[in-house]
Amino acid sequence: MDFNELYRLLSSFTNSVENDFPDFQYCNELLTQLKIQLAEQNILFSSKLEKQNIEGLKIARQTLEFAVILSVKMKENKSFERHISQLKPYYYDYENFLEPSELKLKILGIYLLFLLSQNRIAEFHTELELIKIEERKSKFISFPMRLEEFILDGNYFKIREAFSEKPSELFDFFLEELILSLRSQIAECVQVSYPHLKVKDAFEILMLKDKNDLIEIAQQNDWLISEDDTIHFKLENDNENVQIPSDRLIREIITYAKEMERII
Amino acid sequence: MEIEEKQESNELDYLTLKEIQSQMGLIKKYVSTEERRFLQRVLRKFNANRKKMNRTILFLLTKIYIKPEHALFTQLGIDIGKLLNVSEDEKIQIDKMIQNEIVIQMIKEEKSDTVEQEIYVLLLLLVSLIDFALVQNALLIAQLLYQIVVEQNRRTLDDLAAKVFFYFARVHQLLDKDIEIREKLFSNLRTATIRHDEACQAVLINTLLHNYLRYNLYQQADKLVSKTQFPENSENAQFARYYYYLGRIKAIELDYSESLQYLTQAIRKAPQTGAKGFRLKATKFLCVVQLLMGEIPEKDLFFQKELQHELSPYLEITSASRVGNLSSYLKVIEKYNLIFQNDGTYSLIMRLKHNVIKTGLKKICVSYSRISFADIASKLHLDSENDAEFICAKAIKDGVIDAVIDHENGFLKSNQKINIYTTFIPQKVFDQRIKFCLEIHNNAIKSLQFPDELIRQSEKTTEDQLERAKELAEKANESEEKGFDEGPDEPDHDDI
Repeated sequence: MDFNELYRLLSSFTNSVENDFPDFQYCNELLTQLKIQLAEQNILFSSKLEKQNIEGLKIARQTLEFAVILSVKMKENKSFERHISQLKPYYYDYENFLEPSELKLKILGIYLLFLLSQNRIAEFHTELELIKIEERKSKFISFPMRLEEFILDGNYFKIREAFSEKPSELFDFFLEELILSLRSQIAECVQVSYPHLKVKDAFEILMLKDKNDLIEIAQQNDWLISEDDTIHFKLENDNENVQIPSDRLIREIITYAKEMERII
Repeated sequence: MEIEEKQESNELDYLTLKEIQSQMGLIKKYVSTEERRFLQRVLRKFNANRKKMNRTILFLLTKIYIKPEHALFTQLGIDIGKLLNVSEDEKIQIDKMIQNEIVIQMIKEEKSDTVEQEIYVLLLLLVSLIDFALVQNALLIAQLLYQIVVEQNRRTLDDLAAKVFFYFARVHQLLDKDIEIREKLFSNLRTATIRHDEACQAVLINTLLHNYLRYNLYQQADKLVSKTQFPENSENAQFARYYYYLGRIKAIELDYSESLQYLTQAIRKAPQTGAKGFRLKATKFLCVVQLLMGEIPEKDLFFQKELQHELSPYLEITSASRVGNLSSYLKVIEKYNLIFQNDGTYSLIMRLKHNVIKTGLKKICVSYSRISFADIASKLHLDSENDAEFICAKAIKDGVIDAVIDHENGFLKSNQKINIYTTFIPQKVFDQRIKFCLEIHNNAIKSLQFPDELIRQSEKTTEDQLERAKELAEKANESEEKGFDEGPDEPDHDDI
C-alpha cells in the first residue's frame, strides 16, 4: 500500500489546521480528500487488525484528531461530536496495537469539557471511567475534572479562578459555552438565596461585564431593579403556596387499594 | 499411618466415583425423558463435586466416560496425565486404583452414550483445571467444549451449554483474553435468543456485561441492557448478577436511587452463605451508593460475619461523611486509595466529597441562626469566604438548607425551622415504605413455585411422593449455593 500520497495530504492538512488563523474552507476540502482516500484504501472504518494496517490506522487516527481540532476552531458542536465518536475506537479498541497518541489526553480533555458545557453529566462520568487513573493526573484531564467538582459543589467562584489555568487555547470555545450554561444555573441559585443584591455585586457573581446582559437576565427571571441599583428577587412565600396535591394523593391511594385487593 | 490415610482417601475416591456414576445415570434419564428436574438435580451437585475432585478421580473419570476415539484424543492429541500434571506418586495410586474391582467393573460397564454425559465430565475436568491453576490447559478444554456445544443443536444441552459458556468466558478472563471472545459471545447470544434458550441467554448477557464492566465500558454495557431482555425465568443466581451489573451502571450514570434498588435486589437474591466475593462487592457498592444518596447505611451492614474485615475502609468513609468532616474524609481516601481503586469504587467515592460538604453545612445551619462566611469556610475547610458564599447559595437552591444570604454583611441567616409534620414529607416517606412492602409481597408471590400438573398426577404412588419430597428438601437446602460458588468477581477480591 502506498502511503506517500496520504502523508502528503495529511501534513498539509495538519499544517493548515495548526495555523493561527486557519482557512476553514481549505481545511475542510483537505479533510474531505483525506477521508475519501482513507475510505478507498479501506482504512478509515476497517475492523480488521493486521500488522500492515497499523501504519494506515495511525494516519486515520491523526486525520481524525486534527478534524476534531478543526471543529473546535470552527466552533461547530455537531461535527466535533461526530469526529470524536469516530476517533474513540482508535484510542480504546486499538490501544494495544497502536502506540499512544500525544494528542489523546488533550482531545479527551476537550471532549469532557464539551460534555460539561452541555450539562451531560452522566456521559461525562461514563467517559471519565474509561480514562485510567494515572492518566487523570494529566493537566488536560484534571482540568475538566476539577471544574465538574466545583460545579457540583456550587463553587462558582473557584471556577472563575480555574479559567485562568486552562491547559490549552483549544479549551476556550467550550469554556465560553460553559459560562453561558453556568450563568443560568447561578441565576437560579441567586434568586432563591438572596433577598436583594447590589447591581455591582451581581456583575461579579454572574460573571458579567455588560449592563445590558444583566438587564436581560433580570427580565427573563422577573427580577426588579430598583433605583438605588439594587436587585430585588421575588421571594416565594411558602405558606401561600401550600396546596393539597390531591391528584398525587388520589393516585397513591388508589394504588394501595389495588394492591390490597390483590393480596386479599 | 500413612498407608492408613491413603486407604481412607482411596475409599473416599471410590465413593465419589460411585456418586458421579449415579449422576451420570440421571443425566441419561434426563436425555431420554426430557424431564428437566433430573438434570437440575445433577447440576445442583456440581459445586459439591467440584470440591471433591482430585487428579486421581479426574483421570479415572475421563478413562471411564470419554471414548478413546473422542476429539480430545484424536484431534488435540491430549494426554490426560500430562494435562493434569500428575505427579509420580499419584501415578502409582492411579495404577493401583485401576486394578481395583469397582473401577474395572465401571470401565467395563459404564460408558457415555450421550453428549450430555461427556460434557458433564469435561466440565468437571475444566473447573478442576482452573482450581489447580492450570489455566492454559483449561483453555484447551474450554475451547473443545465450546466447539461441541456450538455445533450441536439439542435442546437438552441448554443448561449444560450455559455452564460451558460461563466457564469459557471465565477461562479467557483469567488469561486476559476476554476482549477477543466478545464477538463469539454475541453470536451465541443471538442464537440463544432465537431458540428461546433462556438459560444461555441469561448467562451470556451476564458474561457480556461483566466483560464490558471489566474494561469500564459503561456506555456499551448500558446499550446492551437497553437492547436485550433478561429472561424472566432465570435462576436467582443469574438475576443477582444481572442486578449487580445494572446497579453499577446506574451508579456511574448518577442515577443513584435506581442503582440502590438494583443493588439491594442483587444482595437479596444472592445466597446468604458462600459466594463471599460477590456479596462483598455488591455490599461495597451498596454502601457507597447509599452514601451518595445522602443516606447512612445501617451499621449491621459492616458487621456481617466474613465480610467485616474487608468492609472496614467503607465503615471509615461512612463515619467521615456522617459527621461531615472534610479533612477526615480526605484522610480516609488517602489511606485506602489503592483498595478503592481495586474495588472500582474510587471514582464514586471521589464524588462523595460534595455530600460531605452538604452534611457539614446542614449541621452548621441547624446550630447557628446566623454565621459569617469566614467561619463557615474555616469549619468546612474551604479555601475562602467567596467559596463558602457560592456553596451556600447552591445548597439553598438544592433545598439542602433553608436560609438566606446577606451579601453586604457577609453572613448566612438560617430560617426558623418549620415543623416537619406540617409538610408533606412524612406522607412521602410513608408512601415510600408502603410501596416497598407491597413490592416485597409481590416479589414473594412471584417466586412461589408449584409442582407441574403432570408431576402431581404421577405422584399418586407413595414411592414417587417420597422421592419428590426428598428432592424438594434437597433443593431447598442447596438451591442457595447453586451456580454461585464462583462469582466472576471472586478472584478480583483475592488480588487485593
